[in-house]
Amino acid sequence: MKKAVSVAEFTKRFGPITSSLAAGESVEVTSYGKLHGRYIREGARQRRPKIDLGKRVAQETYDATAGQQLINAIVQDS
Amino acid sequence: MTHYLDLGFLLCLVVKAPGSASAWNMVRRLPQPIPITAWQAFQVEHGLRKHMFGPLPTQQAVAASAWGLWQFYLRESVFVLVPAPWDSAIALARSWNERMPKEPPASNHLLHPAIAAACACTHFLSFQPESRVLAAAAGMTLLPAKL
Repeated sequence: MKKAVSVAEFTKRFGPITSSLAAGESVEVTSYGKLHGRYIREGARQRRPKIDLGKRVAQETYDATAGQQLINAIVQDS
Repeated sequence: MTHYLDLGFLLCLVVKAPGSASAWNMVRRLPQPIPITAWQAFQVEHGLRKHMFGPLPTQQAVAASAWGLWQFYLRESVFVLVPAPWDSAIALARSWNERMPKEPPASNHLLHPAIAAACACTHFLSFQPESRVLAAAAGMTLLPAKL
């Protein structure tokens, strides 16, 4: 989706342009190449997907023993 | 701030270790975001950076990976920095140190439960036996309940 459209294009293709925007997304409307205004689609911004806490560390490819050695070394140093 | 995670516990969340799964199981039940003090963050970051540039290639790789994960959790506000009453925390650690009838543990193992107590935390999350004894004596609930 283009982030900037001319006034002519915006008025002619209002439906396709605005319905392609997600809630909270915006498009700049330009007149003679200069920013004239900004159209923002109504509605709450989509929430970021909830992080699956602990999933990424479980997916690490190194051995858990190596991880424990690092933890021990850091705790001992501190 | 009701739950305090000490250095070893925090590291278990970003470094894959035998305790990581159980650490995350406990943390998932806590209200999000998880408040941490600048001292906790500094210790994690310093430890990881030290080993990222250390002499052992395996530890370099593990630390670099953990550093990325730590930054990710900070960016995503899984952990947020909160202020702490530093003077009270250090005063408490000093008094524990003075009253210790035997050789005191490492200063870090005194300081973490002291910060938690000064922050009026109700729970202390740690795998460190010395710190757990002090936290329990200060009236905090230990997680995990048993090691």
